[in-house]
Amino acid sequence: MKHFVLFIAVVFLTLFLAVLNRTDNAAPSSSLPTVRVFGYASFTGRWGPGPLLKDLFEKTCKCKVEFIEGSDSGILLQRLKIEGESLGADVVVGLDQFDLSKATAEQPWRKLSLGQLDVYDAVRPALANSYFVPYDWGALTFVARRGELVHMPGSLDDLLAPELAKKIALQDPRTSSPGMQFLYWVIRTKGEEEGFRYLQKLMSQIHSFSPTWSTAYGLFTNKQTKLVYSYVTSPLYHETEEKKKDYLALPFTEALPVQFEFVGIPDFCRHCDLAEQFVNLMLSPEGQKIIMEKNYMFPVMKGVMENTPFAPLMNVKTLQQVEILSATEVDRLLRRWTEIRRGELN
Amino acid sequence: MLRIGLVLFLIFPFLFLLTQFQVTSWPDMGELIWAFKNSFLQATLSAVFSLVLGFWVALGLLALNSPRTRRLRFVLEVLCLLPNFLPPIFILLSALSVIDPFPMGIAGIVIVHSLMNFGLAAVLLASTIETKLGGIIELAYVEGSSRWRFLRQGLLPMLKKDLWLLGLFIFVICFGSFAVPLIVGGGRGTTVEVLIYEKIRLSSQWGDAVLLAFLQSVFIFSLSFIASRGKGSLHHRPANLRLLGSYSGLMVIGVLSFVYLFGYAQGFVSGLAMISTFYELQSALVWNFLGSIVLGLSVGVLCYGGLMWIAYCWPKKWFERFLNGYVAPSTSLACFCLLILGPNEGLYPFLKIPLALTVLSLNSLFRMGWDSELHALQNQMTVAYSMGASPNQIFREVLFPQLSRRAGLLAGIASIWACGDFAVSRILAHHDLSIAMMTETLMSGYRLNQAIVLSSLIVVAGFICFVICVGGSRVLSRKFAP
Repeated sequence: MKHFVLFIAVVFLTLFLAVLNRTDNAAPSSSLPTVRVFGYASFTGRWGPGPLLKDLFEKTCKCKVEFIEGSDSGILLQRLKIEGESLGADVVVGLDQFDLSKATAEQPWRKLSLGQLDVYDAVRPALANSYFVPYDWGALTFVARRGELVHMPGSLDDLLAPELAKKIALQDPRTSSPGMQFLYWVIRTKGEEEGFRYLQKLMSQIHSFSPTWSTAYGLFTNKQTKLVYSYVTSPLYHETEEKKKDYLALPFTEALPVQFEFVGIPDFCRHCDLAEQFVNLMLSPEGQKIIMEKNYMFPVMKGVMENTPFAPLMNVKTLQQVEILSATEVDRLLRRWTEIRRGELN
Repeated sequence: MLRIGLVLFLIFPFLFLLTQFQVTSWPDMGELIWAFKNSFLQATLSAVFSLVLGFWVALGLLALNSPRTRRLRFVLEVLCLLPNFLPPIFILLSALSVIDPFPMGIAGIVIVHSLMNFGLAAVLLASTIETKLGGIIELAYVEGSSRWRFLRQGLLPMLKKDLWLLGLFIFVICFGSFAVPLIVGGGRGTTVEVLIYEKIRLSSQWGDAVLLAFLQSVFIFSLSFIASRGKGSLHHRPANLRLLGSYSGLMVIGVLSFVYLFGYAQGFVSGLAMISTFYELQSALVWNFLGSIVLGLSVGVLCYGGLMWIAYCWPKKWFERFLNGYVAPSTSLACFCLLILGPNEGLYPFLKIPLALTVLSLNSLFRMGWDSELHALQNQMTVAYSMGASPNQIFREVLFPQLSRRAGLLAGIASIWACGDFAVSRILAHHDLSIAMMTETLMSGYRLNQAIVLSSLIVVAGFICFVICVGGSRVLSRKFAP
């Protein structure tokens, strides 16, 4: 009996110690400072730009970079609030324009002094906030499969066509950033009252409001829906990685909404200078190239995208103004959306 | 004292959060009623369909009770239980490939829940029928009763309590289900559990979230008074079950397995074409695989210990009533509670994740037959007690040797659940610690098919943990045999 328990204990302990002491998890050398970067999983994960940026940064910074993950920006902000200060969050990546007011209201942030940035014109309005700087961006539209629809929709009103009944995959604006972008797009384009009337009509066309972009996109790639709300760069992923040319991003007569992803430095950062260097790296040509190629998003800085397959995709008409809605305003719009959704179901 | 300790362990997320957040106002009634209506409707329908399908499939499994067909039956039981252990997103995407158009909303939730739970219901029902009614079925067969007559007048009335209990068990699982309503609800089927998540995630309304979770628990607790306890039996002899066995049940397993395996297989094949992307990640794969094993085994050991803890504290009326009515706290609440509690670096996720998963699954394991096992041993405990045996002696010499195997089986199931978890781990860990988390990271990009390929390792890790838990419990049972 004793031997058995001892055997199990030894096996268990060995496994446990092995996992704890894995190379990428080992405690950083005490002589090197550790820059803690809070980010969402697909940025910090092995297939995201995070690990490459980390390697690049560690080559020169005489420091270690450690990623702290949250599944999305909502969870990330909660995590930051709960343990950001105690853990020493130095950099936060992955907030979009609808998160900024909430982030500012919940945490103190450090002003960024990054000098004159040579960004694309479409990005310039997003530089207005002095606490956060965008590191990538993407225009959102509907993505379809080639040859599947008789009439490809070219405007918001076209989405009401009978051919598309229950065939559109959207994201829930309460839990997904692209979902919120769609809600904002409709309201900005049609005005609030008309926009919500339109949304009421659109409800019957929607297959589902998924909690995340990935679920909605999964429904689309599984051929459950004919359209999905996604990025204009989405077809490029399939072309590059899967060698499939089946997908296309639809041009719309209405100017498309733009999602910016921001990086910021909390006021309680422990290695603030290193954090700023990391932000600079993200905005450097090497950093921007990594982000573009791994995130399948447009870089914000000029001179990176040229002569790449991304360049032609940027020629879409986008909303000119970047509006940073207050947390209360976002909450109010979401409540109205929820009422419509609930009303439609009761 | 030990009983109070266990009760406190199970309700500590509520207690802790109540000390941290004030419940200042009553939540919006319209929203609350809407969510409760959706939760109740989907859970009731899911329980009914799972039971009906499970009963049918159980008859199929009973058709394979000869020594020659044991191995085939084992394979079919694994097929039945598999959807319970795979991440819901895979079951969903597989079902979507076959059921087109897939009805999102309540109907979709019910379909996925039924697909996930029919197998569990079938395996538990088949085992209950064999152990409790094997002899009677054989007698009815010898006496020349027809199948339908025995079903109507013998089996169903005698299994009524067990069916109620099993139905309630599935109802509770579905009522508190989080991932499926969130994904399949498609915005139409917001349940209480999803509402709790939204309260925390969207507007940080922790007070509202705690109140909702409390209301949900009270509701389930009151429901548990409706269903009385079932009686278990530990010993049975092999019986001739030809009267009940039905090969049509096997056909149902075939059809339902096709629904969840076809899409999975399709995705797997597409993902294999891109397997080269995994080459550079071999080391991460190995470490995360070990991470899955560590998490799975930790949960297995904790659940084994928890079940034995319950056995040691048995019997006591109020304690039994509490365990029958108790429902695990909402997943989001339990996770955020542990996130707030203490640091989350280094060793801590390896402690917190198993702890959270144990709090969340111990109650389900109790309802999966642990209560029946304890009831079946109650007479022996009474005799031993009246003959002067101490509680320690009763536990060591009566309970432990007889219960260890069953506890190992249940702990093995919990360890498989743990291997497939990414929701709890994602909140409590700072980076990918397991294959399930790695799979979820892949899914959050465009790489769904590669995620499906990777998820096959979840099944392997789960199987290893299951075998270790079951094997370990058997060794312990033998070593402790008086």
